[in-house]
Amino acid sequence: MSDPSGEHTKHWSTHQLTEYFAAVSLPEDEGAVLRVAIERVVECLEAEFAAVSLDHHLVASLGFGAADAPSELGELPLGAAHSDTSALPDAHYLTARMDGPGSLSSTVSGRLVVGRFESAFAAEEEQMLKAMATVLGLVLRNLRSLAVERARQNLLRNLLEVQRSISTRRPLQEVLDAVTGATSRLLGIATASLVLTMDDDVATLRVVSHHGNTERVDDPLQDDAVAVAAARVALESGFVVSATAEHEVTMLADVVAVPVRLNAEVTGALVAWKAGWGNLSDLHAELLTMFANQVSVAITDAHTMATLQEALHDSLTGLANRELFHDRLEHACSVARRREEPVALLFIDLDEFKAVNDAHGHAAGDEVLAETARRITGELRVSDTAARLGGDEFVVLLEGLSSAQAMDPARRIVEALRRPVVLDGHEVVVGASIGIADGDLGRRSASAIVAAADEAMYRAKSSRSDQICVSRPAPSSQPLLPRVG
Amino acid sequence: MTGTSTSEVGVDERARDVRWMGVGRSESPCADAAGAAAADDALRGRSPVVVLVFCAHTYDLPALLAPVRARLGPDAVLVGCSTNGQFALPGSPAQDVSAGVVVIALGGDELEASASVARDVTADRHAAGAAVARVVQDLSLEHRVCLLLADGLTREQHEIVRGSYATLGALVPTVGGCAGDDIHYVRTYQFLGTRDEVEVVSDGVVGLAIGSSGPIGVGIGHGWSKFGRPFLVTNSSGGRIYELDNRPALDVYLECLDLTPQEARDEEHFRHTAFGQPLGLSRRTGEDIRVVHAADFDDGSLLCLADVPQGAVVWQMSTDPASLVSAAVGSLDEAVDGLGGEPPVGLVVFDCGARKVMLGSEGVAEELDALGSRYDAPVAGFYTFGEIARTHGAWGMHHLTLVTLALA
Repeated sequence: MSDPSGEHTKHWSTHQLTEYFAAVSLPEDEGAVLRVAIERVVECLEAEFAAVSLDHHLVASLGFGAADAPSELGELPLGAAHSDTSALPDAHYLTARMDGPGSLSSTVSGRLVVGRFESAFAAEEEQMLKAMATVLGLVLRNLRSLAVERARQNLLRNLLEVQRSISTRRPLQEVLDAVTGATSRLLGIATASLVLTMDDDVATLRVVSHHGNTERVDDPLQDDAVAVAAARVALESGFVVSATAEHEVTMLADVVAVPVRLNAEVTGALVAWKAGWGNLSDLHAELLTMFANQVSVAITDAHTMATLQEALHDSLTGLANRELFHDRLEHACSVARRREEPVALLFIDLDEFKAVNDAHGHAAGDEVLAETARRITGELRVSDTAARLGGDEFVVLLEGLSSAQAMDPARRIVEALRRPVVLDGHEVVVGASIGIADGDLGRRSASAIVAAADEAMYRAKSSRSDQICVSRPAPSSQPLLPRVG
Repeated sequence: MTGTSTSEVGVDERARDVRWMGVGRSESPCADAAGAAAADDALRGRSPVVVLVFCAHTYDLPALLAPVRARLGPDAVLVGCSTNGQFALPGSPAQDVSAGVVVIALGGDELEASASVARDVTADRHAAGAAVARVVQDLSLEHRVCLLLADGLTREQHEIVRGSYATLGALVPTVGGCAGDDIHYVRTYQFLGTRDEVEVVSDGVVGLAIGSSGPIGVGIGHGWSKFGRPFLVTNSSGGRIYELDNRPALDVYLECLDLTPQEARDEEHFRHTAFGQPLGLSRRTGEDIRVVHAADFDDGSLLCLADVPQGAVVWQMSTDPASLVSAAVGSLDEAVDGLGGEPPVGLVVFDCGARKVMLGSEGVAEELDALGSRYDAPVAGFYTFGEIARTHGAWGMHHLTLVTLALA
């Protein structure tokens, strides 16, 4: 029988992880938690053996029948191993540490081991066991905490929401927004951002989803800048970042950033902060660590990953692509409209790209585009978004700036692109024309801004003397857009 | 009416002496006549190590079991349960598989058995499963299997199987089935006895350990595959599903079944449709099937006899009669493959009651034909409310499945 959703069978692990999480969260005492955990671990991995060791003592085991589980189980190396001792059944073993990497504090140090006759464990299963071990460690620790019950329920509810958006094949942005929305609620209406990059390149970290308290008065430019900066530290150190960042003029915010690793290419951090949070507790950081772990596993779903790669990656330049850019622009426009703040857009078109492409070939053309991207990015603030819309068309989103204020970066970009590019030992000057438009303090929609900047760019291109043109103000007869917020 | 006569073919005389299996069946409505006839056919004068009795829930059970017990030696054990139907092959075609009694006798010098029962299982299913499985520790022969007969109406039987795994460990396979009541969902019975006495309980679980000097094989087959899009179980408790994708589970499921609420309120109609479109839980090597047995129109929930965990992803499952029969034969083959080349002396089958309903009488006859003619060995078993089989991994609860135990 045909199976139109056959690829889902490959992702049984993400589905079972949620079940495991729900089951392990329920029992009230340590013995029951351990029993349920090892039962679910062997069932999920179709394995025969499982054990938990705490401080080098086996405290629970399954699969050895009436016999005692061999203590060697607790001494296996982390990761995959095959039994090479007669003390253990001849099987494949996998061991994970119970303190997830980056966990802030732990009074429980332990290991979760699983053994299977049939076949060696796949990488996906190792990732799954790590997540299971992290959850188990946290549940065990939390059993001793008072805030536990609410936190557990809260975590489960929020995780279910993320899982649901994935399993029902919501569009990628909805999945990512579900992650930040759930993170925000998990920590009690904090501001949350998911910051991702390709190929571990922290220079290209960008906020792919953002969920903020709608009542907040924070500056969105600062939001993204804080998120990216925190994510960078988390990613470079590989640990949870917990810092008090200077945030807004008068308030302080505690920032927590937890690394997420989705696969070999996509990494980043889940960042949360809250103005005036005051004392960020270890529990908050641990909750976020656990949640980030779960989310990492959940969105490793192939479909989501493929879309994510596609959505994030302009493979040639590393810039945002059209789709991501439009999301960011819509977001910026709604913020700008609500606060009656400026937002500006640069529309950049290379002048001699076609000639270079024709004369030096496509590879040279690609090199010009990549160099153009580097030079544009070099003139921008970390919170600005540069994107390649296709061909030799680039756009830059400048939040908080009016058209007049955008002249400055536009001039710098024109200067940068006027410098020669070296191709096969030849110096080539490409040059660019730029059109500028702004949101007219919330009166222009996102698409109207793009159209206006595009139109200004064409005027710039046709008047050879002037390489930057600013869109004329909207006619006064144009109706105002309704104000939101 | 007497029990159908059975014959043993393809088993050489020497092997038959050390390990043998005989089967008998009677459709007589008279309890003691039925018990006597089925036992005589299964035993044919031999003294068994253990007899398994599977019967209609309507019998006067002590009266049915008395003549069976009277034919046992002092050390033999009797285990069994009420069913959703039973069969014994070869034999004359059944008038009605739902009626009557089947006796399976196992004996020989190189077979051993030990059994126990746990009562009030729902108080602690895990502990009950762990307790009855300890009978395996009475065995001394090399090859072992633990057979479980649980109540089919007490839900969450997988907890019993989990408990048994905690006792048994990875090296002892488990098989079995959940007792039925001809799909009336009222009451089922499990029993354990000897020549001298018998105990009949509900909400019980019987554990039977079989030891053998010959290999033991277990097969599992269902013939279902998933289709459509997945749903997330957003709210459930045990076997009751309250919400799928944050909507009332009943609303979602009726859309899948293409039933109107009016049609679904006809229990018979709903059940027949629902049996044909169960739900499958996403698992590492395929799907774990759940049958929806009833709908609750008061709170919009669905009732399964087994656990549907919150957070699980479920698919609709579909099949066709040919796939069902072919999976049944596949289950037999897998069990016999586990015998390491030795011929089977007999096959004990646990077949799902919902499969029986779906196949209808013609389909059942076709399936039984296929099962009976596959090997030169007797085949007998019953229609369950849930099948038990664990060979690898730790999960041992199945639904809409046919489980086979092969003894060499």
